Amino acid sequence: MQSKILSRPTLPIIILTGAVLSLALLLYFVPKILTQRGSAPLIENIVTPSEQEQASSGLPVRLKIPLIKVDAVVEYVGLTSDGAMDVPKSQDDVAWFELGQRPGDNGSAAIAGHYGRKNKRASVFDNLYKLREGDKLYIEDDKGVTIPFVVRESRRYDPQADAPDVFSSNDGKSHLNLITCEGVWNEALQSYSKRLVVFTDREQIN
Amino acid sequence: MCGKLYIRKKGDLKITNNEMERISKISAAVLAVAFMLSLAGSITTFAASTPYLGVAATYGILASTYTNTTAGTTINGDVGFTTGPAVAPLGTHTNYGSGSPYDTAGTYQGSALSALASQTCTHTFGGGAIDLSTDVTHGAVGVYTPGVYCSAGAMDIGGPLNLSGSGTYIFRTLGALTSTAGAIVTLTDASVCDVYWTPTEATTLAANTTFVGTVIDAAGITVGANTTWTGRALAFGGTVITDTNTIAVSSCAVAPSSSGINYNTITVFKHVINDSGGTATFTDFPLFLNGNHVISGQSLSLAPGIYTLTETNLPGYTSTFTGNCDANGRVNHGGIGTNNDICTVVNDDIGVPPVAPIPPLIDVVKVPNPLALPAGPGLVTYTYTVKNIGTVPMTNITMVGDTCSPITLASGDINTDTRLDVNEIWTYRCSTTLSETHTNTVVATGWANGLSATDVASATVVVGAPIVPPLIHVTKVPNPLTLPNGAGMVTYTKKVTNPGTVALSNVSVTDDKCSSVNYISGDTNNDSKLDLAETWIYTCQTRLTKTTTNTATAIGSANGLIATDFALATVVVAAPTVAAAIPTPTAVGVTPKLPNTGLAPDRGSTPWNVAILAGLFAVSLFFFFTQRKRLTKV
Repeated sequence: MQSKILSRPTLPIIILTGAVLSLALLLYFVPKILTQRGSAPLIENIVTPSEQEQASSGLPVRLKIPLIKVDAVVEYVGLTSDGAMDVPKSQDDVAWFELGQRPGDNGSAAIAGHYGRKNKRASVFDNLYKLREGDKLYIEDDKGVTIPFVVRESRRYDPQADAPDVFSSNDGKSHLNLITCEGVWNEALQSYSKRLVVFTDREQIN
Repeated sequence: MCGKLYIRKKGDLKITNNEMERISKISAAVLAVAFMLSLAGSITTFAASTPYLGVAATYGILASTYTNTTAGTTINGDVGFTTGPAVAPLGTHTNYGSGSPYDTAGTYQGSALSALASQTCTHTFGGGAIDLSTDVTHGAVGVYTPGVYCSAGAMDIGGPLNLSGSGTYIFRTLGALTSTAGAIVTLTDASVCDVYWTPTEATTLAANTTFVGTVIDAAGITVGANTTWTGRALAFGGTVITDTNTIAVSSCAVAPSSSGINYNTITVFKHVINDSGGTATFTDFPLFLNGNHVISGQSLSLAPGIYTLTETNLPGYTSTFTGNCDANGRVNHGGIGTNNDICTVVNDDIGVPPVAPIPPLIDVVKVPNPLALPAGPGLVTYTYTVKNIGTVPMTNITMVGDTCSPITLASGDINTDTRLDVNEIWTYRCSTTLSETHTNTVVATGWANGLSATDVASATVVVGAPIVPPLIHVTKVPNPLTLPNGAGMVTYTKKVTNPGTVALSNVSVTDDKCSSVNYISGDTNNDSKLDLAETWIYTCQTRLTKTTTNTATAIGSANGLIATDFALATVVVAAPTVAAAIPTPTAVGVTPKLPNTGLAPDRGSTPWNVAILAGLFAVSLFFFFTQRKRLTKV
């Protein structure tokens, strides 16, 4: 009797609907990441660090992270009145902490971007959490030079945590650290519960 | 008449008789008012005025050689000399000897003497020596009112002398100044701070004289035994000899004028550059003009003279002056017919920045409405337009006005983030009632990246005369704003516009730290006048080796009045290379907190694609279980 029931036309409809829903969920929550891993970035004029690492880099003008489709204008920010790194004005832009190092110079440069949907639009670093060790990103500076970086690791911090490793380093190498928010939105504090920092190193080309 | 015909012929050469008559009346009125204004200026120059003594004001004795061989002399005030006395005087002296500010005091002595010598005599005695206590040519015997008293011969105070009335007294002689033993000089409604004696030969006060005022006499000053003196013996370059005397320096403050009609203003303000780890703000550097505390942005209507801007130093910061003040903070402030002055103290935290933060640039324009109140006192509304002409947003925007308050923000902060963004134009307004012709000055300040940006705007409203005052406006933008790799060339572009209602003549632009300012373009009709629709462009190029703030000054004139505007800009020069800065965490010297980049989620931002599919799935399940139940029953 049971087998008879399952042989009815209803069953394929349910299976098909479930499959479509599963696919939709998959595409919604894990968009494009698999298809983009390993895709060749459209970046030109990349410089290697061997000869120019000690020289001053130009001012950053764009940040490109092909894997998560980030191609953002770089704003320049300083500190807020409470001593925090300021944030970009635009939801689509990223902000370089200009009181720190320049991307490409020895030391740690910091770039922040917004997280969260606003006005039904995604923010530039909504998918920053998807970056993994070995993923690449690029800085274009005002001299027309593109500087490649490679993801080393990601860390989560409390919002008020001291994070000197984000803004400084003394290993004589060039780093770029990307900062955004994640976690649960706290309406009272107008803040998410965590800060995500993706640490990257200037790509070494032998 | 020629002037009016010239103006009219641009539109229509025909002038009717009625028009001519009306023009003539207007012309007469304008000329009358102009004459009255010029006369007022002339009167000001003829009245005796007290000179500025600067740091010399605190000296009771200032000499190259100071001689005092007996005990019993008391000097309450500084004593300056290079060759000191055998017996040191008693009394209180903050400065004693040749230490700083001895040399500077000597300079001020000279400038004060020049200021005194330049004033026109209000009474000239007859030839030969004169006894001031018995002279009958100047007025009541033994009584003197404020003025400049000149003599071609020696002056002697042979007996009682009374200086009566508030004002400045100057006794100038091309000879010696002496007193007779026991002579007494008294004051009635006069201040010892306003009494000056300037002989060209030696001063000798006899024993037991009671004397008041400041003697400036490099030929030497000898004070007789037991003489008491309220004032100063200034003989820098000469000798002062005392003998059981008491000399006391009075405290003489420079009082700003209470009226804006009489004098031009000096506007003082700070400019702070924190590009090497500093965190100071304006309040960390108290400002003083002639020793009187002033706040950044304050404008003071002051009598002509030399003024000195000083500040309380803060360790770790350099202090330099820009604007109309010289390297020592001094400004020779003029009277009517000259310009308003600004003096800026730039404080830069010591050190060469490893990276160059982008300095902000702010611009303010002020336009009064109306520009003139020909019928007399009335309400004036000032509209202040503030722009961000740089590349970084500014915070902590402040507006400091000299006489109009409150200055309220009317509009402009489009995104209500309290930051003056690059594309925003903020409008402030302030209304006040003017009862006399007045020049109102405002100072706009903003901050970004630890650096302040300042601009100042002035506007004159004429009260009681049909004269439209001119307005001028200048902006200055450096290119580049930073020199990230050390010294380099910077080009300043200055744009001069006319926000008023009358064309400006004699337009000029100068820059205190970029000498070759070149006119490029803008006089579209080639009439050498800055018309309302024109923008005159000037450029200047210079090489900077360190972080520099400079001031451009634009001047123009119309209707016999002068309009002035200033524009300041900072260019940050970083270290030649940043490799040496590796260990430095950040240029601000502290680790910043992590940024709050989270945006509040949209209310009701449902992922509709998921919701629709979930709905379909729910309907399918409902259909499935309904069917199964029905078939089971079957």
